[in-house]
Amino acid sequence: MIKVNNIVKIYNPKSSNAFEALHGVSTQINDGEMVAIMGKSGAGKSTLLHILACIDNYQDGEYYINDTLVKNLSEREYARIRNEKIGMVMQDFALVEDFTALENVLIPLNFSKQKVKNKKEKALAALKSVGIEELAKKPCSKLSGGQKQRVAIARAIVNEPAMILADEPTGALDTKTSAEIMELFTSLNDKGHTVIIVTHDPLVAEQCHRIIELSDGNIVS
Amino acid sequence: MLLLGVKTFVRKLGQNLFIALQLAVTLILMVQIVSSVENRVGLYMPIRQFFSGRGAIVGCHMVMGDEQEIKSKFSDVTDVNGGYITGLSYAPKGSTGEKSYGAEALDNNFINTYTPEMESGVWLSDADCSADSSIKAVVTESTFGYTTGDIVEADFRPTDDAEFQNVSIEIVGVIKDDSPILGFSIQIYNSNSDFRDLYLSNNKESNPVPLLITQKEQIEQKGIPYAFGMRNIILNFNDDISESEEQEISMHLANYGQAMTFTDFNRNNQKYVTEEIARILPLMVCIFILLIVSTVSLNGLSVKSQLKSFSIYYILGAKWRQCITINFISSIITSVIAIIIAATAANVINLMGLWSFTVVQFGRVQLLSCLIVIIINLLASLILPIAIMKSNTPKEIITSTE
Repeated sequence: MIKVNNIVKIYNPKSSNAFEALHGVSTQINDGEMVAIMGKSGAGKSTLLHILACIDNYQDGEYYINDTLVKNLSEREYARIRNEKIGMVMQDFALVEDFTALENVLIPLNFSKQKVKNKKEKALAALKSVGIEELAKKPCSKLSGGQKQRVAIARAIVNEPAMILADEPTGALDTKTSAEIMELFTSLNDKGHTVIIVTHDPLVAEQCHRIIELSDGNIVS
Repeated sequence: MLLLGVKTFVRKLGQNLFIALQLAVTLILMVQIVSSVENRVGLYMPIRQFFSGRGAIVGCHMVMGDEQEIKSKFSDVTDVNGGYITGLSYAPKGSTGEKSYGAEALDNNFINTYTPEMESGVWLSDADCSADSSIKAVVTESTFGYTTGDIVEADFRPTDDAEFQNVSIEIVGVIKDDSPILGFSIQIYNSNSDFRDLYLSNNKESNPVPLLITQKEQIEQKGIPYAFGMRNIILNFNDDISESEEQEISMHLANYGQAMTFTDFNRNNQKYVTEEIARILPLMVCIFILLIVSTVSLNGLSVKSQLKSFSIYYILGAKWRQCITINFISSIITSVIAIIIAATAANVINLMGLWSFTVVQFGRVQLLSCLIVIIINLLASLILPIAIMKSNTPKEIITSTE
């Protein structure tokens, strides 16, 4: 379960152009939920997602992952959370373009603190689960947008995290491909992963169990 | 981590090979500049120790005797250094004629001070001076034909009225032609003489008679006579004498040959060294600046080009330290390739015989300077990523590169 209590995020806190992006946001996301975070540009959606993904900090409030407070942890602990508990999918796929699909999916396994046996087999299984096992040896620079996003999803799930966070995962894709990607997220959710998607697209949001609406740094619904 | 480091290197292969090439050029430049400095002042550093305090150098044109005899004649002399003439005489290799060529000697102090470049074998060593050991010697290249491993049969008389005795001398090394040798220069030429005049470069074409150099401690044990003379010798005086007293003693020493006080000699040394350093200092500074700027800019470019990859690794569970390690491994590979390129280029130039037209040497100092260049490059590859990555949050990096 994920819980955020009164999260405050301020950009440039010590300078004259300090900007409070989140004003005491509170919410709870239960295990196995598929939640959409919606709002206009600048509402704070990505800010909230990045805090949940432990790639950004916050100034006030509390963020819990299964009753563990995620605040002021060591770099090692944050890295472990990002590697083991969270799978991140970005709008621009965030792939290492020169690497093959397989090499990209292997990255989280290479940084895992747990001794992972059969890394290659696990990575291939992840690619197979998203339907692109045959593209394992292809450089990502030669893949289509939809294929790249599948690689990104395979990479996000290869360490079997409990939570998948996606920042506008269909933003760079056409309608048909977007639908295919959403099918993937839905099937991952059916398998028990908690899925949190930041999106502008109402068609994406309506496939989720719940919508959290942000406006000007506040949760409005 | 190692695998990711290698993959990181391969991913930017063209860029990294260019960096390696630039680093190789810097290494070769460093060797050249260090060789230039060493060529100018390298002969000064080993002998500086002899010229502290008061003293004089005398270009003897007669035999002065051994150290005790000189000290008895000049009570202010505390130490004498230089090459010795000995009572040993020998003949060219294979000759059955008279043994009419004299051998020289150096004491262990001089032997340990400076090692000339050897054509073959080794320089003399004070490690082999026991009474039971045979006499070891080195010889300059010459038409006499002696090579490393040869045995020279020499004669000597312990005293003027004694019978001639025979002794075998083992050649342990041959000094390279034209290599500066300390202790056997002929004379101090004039008031402008400096440390360079204390070295003799024996050339076999212009001087076919070789220098056969033995160890004074060894020949002393065998009862072979030796003395200072017919060469430049260095005399140290008491510390408490004044400059004018130093001049006065030098004037008395002038009976034995042209004399120069340490005061004048050191002044000339300083003048030469300062002028030479000043001459090449601008070039040294430019090369050093080039090194720093190129190292910083190339490492910075390298890190910047990989920033997105590192931020991806970070999101997927890497620590910044691991990203820095990956970059460091890639930098080590680049450095190794640079060393290979530089060494290959140096060897090719050597095989073409082009180094002989320059003062470039590949000694310890040159290798140390190359090591410093490599260390600076590796340090930059550690420090720059820390500075670049720490100045931005991972989120800023990943969103700014989207």
